Amino acid sequence: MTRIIYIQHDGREDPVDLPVGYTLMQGAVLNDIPGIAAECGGAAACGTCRVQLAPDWVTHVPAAEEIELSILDDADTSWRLSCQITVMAEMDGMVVHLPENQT
Amino acid sequence: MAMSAAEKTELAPIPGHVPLERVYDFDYIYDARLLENPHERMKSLHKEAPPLFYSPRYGGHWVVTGKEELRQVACDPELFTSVTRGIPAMAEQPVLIPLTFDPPRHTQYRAPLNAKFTAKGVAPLEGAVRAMAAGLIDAVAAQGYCEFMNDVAEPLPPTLFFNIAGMPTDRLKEFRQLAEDATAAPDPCVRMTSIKKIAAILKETVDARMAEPRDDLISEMVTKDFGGQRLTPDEILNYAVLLFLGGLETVVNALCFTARYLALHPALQAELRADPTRIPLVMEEMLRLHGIAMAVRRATRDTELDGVAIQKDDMFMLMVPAVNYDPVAFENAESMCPGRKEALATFNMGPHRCIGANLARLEMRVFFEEWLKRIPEFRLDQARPPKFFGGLNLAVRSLNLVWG
Ligand code: HEM
Repeated sequence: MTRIIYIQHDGREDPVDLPVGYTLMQGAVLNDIPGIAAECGGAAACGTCRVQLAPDWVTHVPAAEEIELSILDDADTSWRLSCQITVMAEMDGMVVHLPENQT
Repeated sequence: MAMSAAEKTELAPIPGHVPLERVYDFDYIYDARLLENPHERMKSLHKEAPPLFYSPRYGGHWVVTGKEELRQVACDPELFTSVTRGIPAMAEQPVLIPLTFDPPRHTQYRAPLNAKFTAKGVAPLEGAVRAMAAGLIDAVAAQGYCEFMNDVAEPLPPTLFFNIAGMPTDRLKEFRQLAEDATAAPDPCVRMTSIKKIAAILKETVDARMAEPRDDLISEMVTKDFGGQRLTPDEILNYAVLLFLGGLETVVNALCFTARYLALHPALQAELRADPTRIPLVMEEMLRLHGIAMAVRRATRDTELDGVAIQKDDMFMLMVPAVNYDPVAFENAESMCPGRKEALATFNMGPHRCIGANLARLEMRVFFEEWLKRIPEFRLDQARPPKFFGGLNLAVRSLNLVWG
């Protein structure tokens, strides 16, 4: 299990333990963590599962591919689609921030 | 209407692999209850049929009304392809970029245009949408009534498209008429001819932008790299026609169903007039309660879905407007709960999830901000109740409103 800490816009922390291979989006949705709509179900087609990786973790996550970049509004590479990030063992303890709203 | 559904379409034999308890006779075009009240009919499907059922209409096809079942089909394009001849089967499938392609080709077509349609991408259009909406509403405000569909809703999307695509405004009036014929003309030949004429007008702009790109959507399609290559003129035209048609009837009907809901709920009108900041979340629920477009898929091999055997080439109608009432996925699915946490299905799921969703949301919000500001309490005209269409879009045929 890999521990991921989701932090809500209002500061609330939700630590969850996720099996390797899940996406950050699935981890949030399956654990009823609010703040992720994931309207398209994980196809990088809607941009409603955006998260911001804590600065220390940005380089631990493989860079976004073209389809993900096309959906992200931000040049800031710490913003990602959580459906495109697959949990790996080395992400244990990773902190991700959720935006105030997704649309 | 004199003809009943049973007279219009035949029942296909039920294939051997379909369990009888999954069979439910539903005619997605002519079902009498659907034509009476489309979204009430969507609710009833959950009470009368399983989340994946088989209807013997139009050659026989599966119907998906469960959100989890929708996710499984829409998010697996390898198993459930968008390359289909439709329901009922046409002689051949018209090619529509990017709708009738599967990944990876679909991704190459779609990714380069996504940025134009993100929330930030469409935000600069807000002023133009507001001005268009205000103009259309002011034209009917003093008369105390309107046929909302034709008078107000219908002209908005084509006018906006002209702006986005960078089309010369002297063709707008002609284009609007063609757009109306393309969606509302009862004769399919008239609809086809109108779409061809729309394409001919669009072609002029495509040619002009190929010669000299500017800052608009068509220029974007001319200059961008799509999977390592430029689009051909035919591809640009095809794509542009879909972007136009995709945002036409859908938005018009989202506006109409919402106006009807508000007409039936004067307390909600009053609440939103008093506090317009509540409009965005209420609009999100309007879009959920009034899903419009369906989607079609075909199984590429034998598989299983919801514990049922599926055969290669089985057809699937993704009944998106019904999915929004799935009691398993939505708490109090039939109630209007602004700010609910479950995501709507209106724009479908998977790689084809509507590219225009942010634009549709912008149009809905801004239009009703202006409408509620300019029109006092309004209600349905009792003498002329609304009429509806079924089919691939749940649609309003006419919506007469009165006020004052
Ligand atoms: C409330 C309004 C709208 C609704 C209900 C709606 C619904 C949908 C749905 C359900 C799909 C998925 C089709 C499938 O999976 O096969 C879709 C795709 C699409 N929509 Fe919309 N739509 C709306 C507004 C718009 C607007 C404003 C545009 C214009 C930009 C647009 C353009 C498209 C296009 C081009 C596709 C194909 C996307 C692809 O294949 O990747 N739609 N829409």
